[in-house]
Amino acid sequence: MKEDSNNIVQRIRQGDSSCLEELVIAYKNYCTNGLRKKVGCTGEEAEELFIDALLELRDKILEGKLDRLINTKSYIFGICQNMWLAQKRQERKTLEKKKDIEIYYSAYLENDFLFSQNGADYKMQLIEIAYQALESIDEKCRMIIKYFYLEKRSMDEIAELLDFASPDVAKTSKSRCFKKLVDKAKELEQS
Amino acid sequence: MSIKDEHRALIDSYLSNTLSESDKADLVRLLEEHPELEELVLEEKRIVTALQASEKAQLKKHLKTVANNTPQKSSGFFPAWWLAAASATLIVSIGYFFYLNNSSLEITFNEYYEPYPAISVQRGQITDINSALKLYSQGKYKEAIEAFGDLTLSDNPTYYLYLGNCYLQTKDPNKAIEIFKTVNRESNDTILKQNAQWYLALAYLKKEDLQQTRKILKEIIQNEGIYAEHAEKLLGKLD
Repeated sequence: MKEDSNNIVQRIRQGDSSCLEELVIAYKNYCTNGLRKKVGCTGEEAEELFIDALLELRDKILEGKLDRLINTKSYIFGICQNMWLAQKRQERKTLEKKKDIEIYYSAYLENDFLFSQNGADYKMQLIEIAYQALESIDEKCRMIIKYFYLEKRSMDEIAELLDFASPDVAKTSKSRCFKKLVDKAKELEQS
Repeated sequence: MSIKDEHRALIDSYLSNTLSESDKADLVRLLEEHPELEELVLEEKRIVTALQASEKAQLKKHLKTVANNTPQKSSGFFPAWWLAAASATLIVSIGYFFYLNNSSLEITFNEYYEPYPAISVQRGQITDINSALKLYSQGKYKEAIEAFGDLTLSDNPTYYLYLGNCYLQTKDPNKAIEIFKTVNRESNDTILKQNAQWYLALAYLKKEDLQQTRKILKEIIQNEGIYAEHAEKLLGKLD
């Protein structure tokens, strides 16, 4: 991997998670050593922050909030520092230690305009229910849902990746699979 | 009650976080006009978000493993060989079904098994390998078997790990066992051997050969390698 910021953005957009692995190897020491010196956290905390910062970077790129990176190393370090400060603020509010998945779930929904606007509840049990529901659909369905909703791939791409005859066939399958998933989740939630 | 097709595109954009500002206004208007849709839309959002959060948590686990295997002292960018070595040391993270509490062997296998992570293909590498890795990363395991099949262990033992994983994915644990045993026997790379040993245990689990699964897991625990903790947990679950 070369220090090519556009390439990093491009690769993350394409769902190439090996790019993140390369960033771990390239910048782990810089960021974790810097954090220990600057904010006085432990090595373990620094590593946790660094990984979360990379995931934050990925989210920003996938959500279209970040198109260019000028200085990747400094940018990531900046996210680390922000996260440390946010974490300290959060710790003052609550002492409860949540699992990563729950933190991410709440954070995504807190930032969602419909949820923040309407004060809708998050239904934490849906984390588990969604996975039980996911188990009820086949592998191809899981991939369509992941590609479409999480990786934001086009139907053309999905058709090519999953060998559908056409983007329209992929679209129909996506609708069918997602309906199946939602229906199953509702059924599990009510049971 | 369900969401009508005419509204699906807009709601899908909302679910995948690709709404423009004007789309947002359209969605708010739609929900004002059809308040009965609101809970349906929120429910779908919760489900997609649960998947998104889990995928992120899983990726974090994976990246932490990479970080753990990155030497503390390093300068500048890593050499190409290091990426390959680091990729080879990735510990299997608990997969998508981590939260399920089902005792069947198949579910246990799914909990502990994750395909060996696809590495990024370096420019200038042999085309056959490129295409095999691409098929693997696309989940086209049958086609990948054919592509990897032309390679030999001496080309690069890592590719044998991928081949073994392809067989696991295509529900052919016997062939997977054969492949992982070959890596174990013939590779001099201790990291690769540890990976092969872990997948060998999982292949036996897939085959529902619990005696062999336990035997291999005990060896992994005894060797105190990178999969010792996972092996301990899995063994505990089988017992």
